[in-house]
Order: sequence, then C-alpha cells, then structure tokens
Amino acid sequence: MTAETSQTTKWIACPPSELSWRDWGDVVVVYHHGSADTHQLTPLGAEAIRSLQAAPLTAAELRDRLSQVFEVESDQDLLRYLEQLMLRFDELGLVERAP
Amino acid sequence: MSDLEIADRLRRDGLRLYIGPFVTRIRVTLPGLAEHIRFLYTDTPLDDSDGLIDFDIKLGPPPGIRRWLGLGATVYVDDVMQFMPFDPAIAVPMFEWGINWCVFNRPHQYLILHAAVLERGGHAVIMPGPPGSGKSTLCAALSLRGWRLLSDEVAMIRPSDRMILPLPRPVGLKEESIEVIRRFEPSAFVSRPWPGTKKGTIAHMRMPPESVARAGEMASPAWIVCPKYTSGATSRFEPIHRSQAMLYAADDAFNYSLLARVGFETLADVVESCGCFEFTYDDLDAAVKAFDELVPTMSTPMEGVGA
Repeated sequence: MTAETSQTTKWIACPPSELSWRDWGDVVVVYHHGSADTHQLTPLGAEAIRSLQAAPLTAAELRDRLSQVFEVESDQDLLRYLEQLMLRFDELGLVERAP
Repeated sequence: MSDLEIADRLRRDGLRLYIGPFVTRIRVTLPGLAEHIRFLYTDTPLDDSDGLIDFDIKLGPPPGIRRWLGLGATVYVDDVMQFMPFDPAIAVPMFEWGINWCVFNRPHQYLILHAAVLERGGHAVIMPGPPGSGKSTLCAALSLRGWRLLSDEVAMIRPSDRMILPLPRPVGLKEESIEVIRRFEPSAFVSRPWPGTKKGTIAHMRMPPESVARAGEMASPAWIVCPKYTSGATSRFEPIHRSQAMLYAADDAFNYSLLARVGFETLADVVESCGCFEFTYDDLDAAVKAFDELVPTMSTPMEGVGA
C-alpha cells in the first residue's frame, strides 16, 4: 500500500450481525458468519474491527484511535502494523475498503 | 439372543439397538456378520418396539451389475448407498463407519465434535485428536481403568445446557494399538483384526458394560485435553490457552459451522468451563495415573488452566 492510498483508503468492518465474539482478555476469538471461520485476535485487532464497525477510518485514523484506547505511541510502526493488519483482515473478509 | 436369532433378525426386519439416545436399525444381507455384531454389542439394549428409527443402516451387495456378479458390499443409510463398494472381508469396520456416518451427519440438534469423551465423578474430559494422536488408545486404556466411556469418536453437546450425551460404542483401534491394548488389559474384549481397510488394520474393543448401562447419564464438561502420543515421552499435562483449545476443537468438529452462532456460543461456553491442556504420553499405565491424579481437582474445574 502506498503512502497516498494509506492516507486516503478508508476501511469498514463487516456488520455486527456477521460476527460473534468471545473476549478472553489477552485473546479475543471471533466467529465470522460469512466464511464460517473462527479467528484468534489480539485485543488490538479486535478493537480495530469494532472501531471500523462504528465508522469507516483510514489506517492513520485508526492508529490515532487505537493509540488512545491502548495508551501507546501513535507512531509509524503502529501505522505500518495496522496497514498490514487491514490487508490481512481484508483477505479474511473481516474488513473491506469503504466505497 | 443366539447368533442364529441375531442373524435371523438382521436378515428380516432388522436388529434395533439403543445406541445412546438413538434407535439404530441394522439390517444385513451378507453372511457371517451376526457373531461380530453380537460380540461388539452384547450389552447394548435392544428396542423391541415398532417406534421411530433414528438411524437405519443396511449392509448388503451394491446395486447394479455388481450385485449379480456377487462383487463387493456397501453400506446403505435410509436405503441410500453411502459408501463406494468395498470388499465384504472388511464389512465389520465398514459397518462401524456406517454408524459413524449417521452420527456425524444427522443429529444436528447437538454440537458434534470429533473427540473421545470419558467421565469420572460426573465431570467429562473431552479429548479431540487427529488420527495418530493416540486418542483412541488412551481412551480405551482409561475406559479399562475406571473412567466411564461416553464415546471414542464424538463429543455430542446439547446446546441448551452444554451437557454431553453418551454414545457408547466400540472403540476403534488401529495397527499397533490393537496389541498395545491387548497387552495393557488381557481381559479386554478386543475383536479380531480386520486388515485391508483404508486406515490399515482395524480392531474394535467392546465398550465396558458400565458405559452401556449408564448411557442415559449425561456429563458436564470439565476439561479439554489434546492428547499427543510421543514415543519415549513422560506423561505430562501442559496448559494451553482456551482459545487454542477452541480452535483445535472447532477445526475437527462435524457441524460447528453448520450450527453457526449456536455452535460458536456452545463451544465457547464449554471451553470457558474447562481446564485446557495438551497431554503428551507414551506409557499407558503412567498416562492413566496422570489422569487419575487430576480427579481431586475435578470439583473445581474452573481452577484449571486456560484462563
């Protein structure tokens, strides 16, 4: 993903009705009804999806939000991590590019 | 009932057995199977009513020209052929797999995991495991040392209360495991071996009578233990995260995806109520001892690992 698309591409998660959750603290398990797959997520990954269910966000906007929630530095490393995470979630059908 | 009477029923209206909660009608038009069915199901109660049948299984010649040439046999469920024709010499293991087929594919009112289940003190240990993990061998050994066998193949979980229903059936043993169990407990009722199946040589161990007699008693899940036979290993429980146990059980479930939200919620609740472990073992006596040492903690299964 180029810097330009990273700044402009907004991501949106599949609607709440398509996901079932179980939060076990350090690991969150989610069942995706669309694919019938079950995934293990980090709390950060789970919060990313929940944030994107509330509103479409760019990776940079998501970084800013998650850095507040988890009280971590809003830096380039986190941005790169989230960009990769969005691509992986996209493959799994958990998020998609917002129209 | 004598072999002759069983053979007569098998050939005519069928032999109706209560296998766990399911009435199973067995019809066989192949010769020589009655003694084997009697050997495996000698303690299983008969259903002499004319009531509903849950699983209707027939072993007989395949349709078409093979029938007239006397070639092969197959398994029918509800009179529909389910397996490709096979050598009648392996009819007994194929018959057992026919019942498996019904259990795996029909009772979707339950969440059905591919796992052995045993119980002590009302608490059940669920043992999911792929072929080669040593699941059936360990299951057979535990059932011969005071653990009640609920099933060697399926954890049948009722979504409404997360209780596990027993389905006591013969334990399938493969290859070396057959002799391992014969040596472990010489008085165990192990069938003759059936070579030439897709899984190699198979034999079946008859379920202990207590397991059959208590087939109506459900058990509450207390542990999920993923067995791992490792040559030379010391028996050891290693805690695993409950998410790992959940994915392990879900990956090998028969209708988890079909049940969707109900399957997920049921399995997640079960995992939450269990201590979750991987169990490596080699020596069966040591393995049974390790399981027995878990018993005092059974009254507080929530204190198991996996949180």
